[in-house]
Amino acid sequence: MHDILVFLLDRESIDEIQNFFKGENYRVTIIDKLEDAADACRQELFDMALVWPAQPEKTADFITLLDANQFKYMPIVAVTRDEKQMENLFHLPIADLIKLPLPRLEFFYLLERVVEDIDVHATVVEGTNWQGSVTEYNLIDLIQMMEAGQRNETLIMRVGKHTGNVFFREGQLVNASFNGLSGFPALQKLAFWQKGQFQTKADVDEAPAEDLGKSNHDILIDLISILHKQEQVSEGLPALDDDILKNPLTTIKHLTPLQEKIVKLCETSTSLFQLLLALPESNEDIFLELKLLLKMNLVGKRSDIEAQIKEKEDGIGFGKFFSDLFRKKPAIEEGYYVYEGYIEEAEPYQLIIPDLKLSAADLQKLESKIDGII
Amino acid sequence: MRIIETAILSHNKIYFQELAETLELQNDSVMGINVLRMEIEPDFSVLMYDLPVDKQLSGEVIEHLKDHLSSLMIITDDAIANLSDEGRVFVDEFAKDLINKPTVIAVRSTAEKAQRFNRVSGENGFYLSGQGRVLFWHPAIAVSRKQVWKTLWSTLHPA
Repeated sequence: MHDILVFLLDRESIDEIQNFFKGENYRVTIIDKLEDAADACRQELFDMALVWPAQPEKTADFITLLDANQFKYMPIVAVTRDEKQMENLFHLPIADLIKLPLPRLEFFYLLERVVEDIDVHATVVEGTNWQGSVTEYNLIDLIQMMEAGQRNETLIMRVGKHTGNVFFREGQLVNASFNGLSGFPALQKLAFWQKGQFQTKADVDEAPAEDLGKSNHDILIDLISILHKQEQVSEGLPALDDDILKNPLTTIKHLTPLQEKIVKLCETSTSLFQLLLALPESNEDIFLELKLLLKMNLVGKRSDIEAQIKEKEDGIGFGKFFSDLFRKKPAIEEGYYVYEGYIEEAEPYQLIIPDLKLSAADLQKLESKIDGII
Repeated sequence: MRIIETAILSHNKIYFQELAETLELQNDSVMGINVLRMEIEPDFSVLMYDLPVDKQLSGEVIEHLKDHLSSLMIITDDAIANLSDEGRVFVDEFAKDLINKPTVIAVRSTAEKAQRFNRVSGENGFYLSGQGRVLFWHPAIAVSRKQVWKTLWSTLHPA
């Protein structure tokens, strides 16, 4: 859920704004007086502000007012239907300029892009709300900081498209949610984050009904002990941000369900951190299964896998490489894996496709097609 | 059967949708890549591979694809600097291997600039290389979009 402040410059646009955001994952606060902007920002920590419909002078005034009141961090998006205004709006320090009409899907894609672009490196405190970087304060720090506040609050943690919530009542951690997980499993996942952003909201409305039933102190002890164990288990694994890739040269018949999930995710290059975010299983289980997969050479660091592929390509030619990949593999016994090593080939061959040249007649046909539809 | 295969690298997928908005395209998928097909005649088609720059494609797929490509179009804007490092490396590596292929860089600009630039550059865009052109376009200016597509394919016709 993102919070958006809309500075409304034309009251007739109010229905349009409400219809746009209806049913979307945004909480919208609308103000139509410039002097209300600073108060609204003090009461709520907004992810961005929209000026709708944007006019260059009033948008500039709005930016100046936010700057003067220490809300410079907030990205401002100008929304307009007026083509003539666009050039002048472009010169203002805004995060984006959206020209209407625009399909809803694209409109929200652009807003999401603005939110993703906000890279919070330092903690900002505005009223009772604050936000910052998980690199600076991780969940273990944040639980202690929230406890000191003694308030009903939700701690929202974000990294990329992933969002986790930790709920506090009078400073006591009562529950957490992340990617369909809740309670302690969700907390464990969030505790491992070493990057991302956090922010707090002064309510716990969305908290699951059940309570973890432990004091913050006990929760912290449990989390620290789990983190310590995870650190030990993860020894020898690639770094969290290293790219991991499935090895197309190795096949194996029988994998555990979790191993299958990991291999599937590694079909396109992914990092260990992304695996931990995407999979609901505990980090410890993921580390153990990944270790086995690395040992079997079924997945590996991207650079290692690419080197293996290149070595094979150089040795036997590209054509042979593909024929090997798609050749039927001999039956293997359960629990064993087969590594298809280097196989000598007498005459490597290469696929050569001549450059295409369009005839004048074909080019004419193409141009006629374009003329007819644009 | 004649098929023109073109790779489209768009650092913002909305731009490709805007540029191709009025083309009659059919969605398809080849090797897990989104492909848009435009039929010119029953035995003459254009295939546009919509390559995601923010998501890594497997090396084999890329290598296999490169052999088939007739041309390359990069759709971008002045915010290309916002592209992730991974995305930038991918675009760079991909384009480097296709250095001898006809290439069009389609820069999404403001309506006013797209009109001004295209008046200057005429119908063929700015010179980028022997078979490469840079064009400026804006979704609201149909002629600028048309110029991009025409230039892309005219580079395949030997002068």
